[in-house]
Amino acid sequence: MNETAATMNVPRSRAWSLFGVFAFVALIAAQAYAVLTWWVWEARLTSTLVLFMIFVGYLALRSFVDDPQQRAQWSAAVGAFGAINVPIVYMSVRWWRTIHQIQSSPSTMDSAYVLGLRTNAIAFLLIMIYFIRRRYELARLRRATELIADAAALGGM
Amino acid sequence: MQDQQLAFIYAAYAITWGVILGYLIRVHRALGQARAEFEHASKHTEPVR
Repeated sequence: MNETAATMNVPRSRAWSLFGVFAFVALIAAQAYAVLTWWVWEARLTSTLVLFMIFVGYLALRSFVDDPQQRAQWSAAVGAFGAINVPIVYMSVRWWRTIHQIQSSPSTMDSAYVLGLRTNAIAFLLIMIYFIRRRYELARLRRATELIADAAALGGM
Repeated sequence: MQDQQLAFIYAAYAITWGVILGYLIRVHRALGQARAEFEHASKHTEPVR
């Protein structure tokens, strides 16, 4: 694997742990708020659980595979598979009509909730952007430290 | 609202903020450690000529 691919591979693995955290929060908080029970096999919740498990599987795969080339290829395959689930999660509330309401938007909900929905959507977007920036900075620092160590090792030969 | 329903809402708030704040602390600790390691590596490595 060339240097560019190796460098790009690091931030991507960090970002997925962030998405896993947010998927976990969505799973726990949303179902407790909306359903007022700890679990029910409902279309949106179940498809989100599958998404969360794909995130966890992706991170586990990356920690178990040592060969960088193989790790990058397998991770890309899992990432592509996981992307298929995103529209399923989004459309699940229309395809399988269970207890979850259809997608929440200003046009589908009571006007009293619109301000709260928009405020929270923007707040979570800003939190996500903040975390992505910090994780990217972390990945770059670690990669730079590795490159310095590698250069020192080569220089000492 | 029933006590049991309130318990779910309080628990959801606590878990949400607990996870977000816990992750924030974890990321900041890792960043501090990574900065220290980077500075240490930069100082203790002679430039390659």
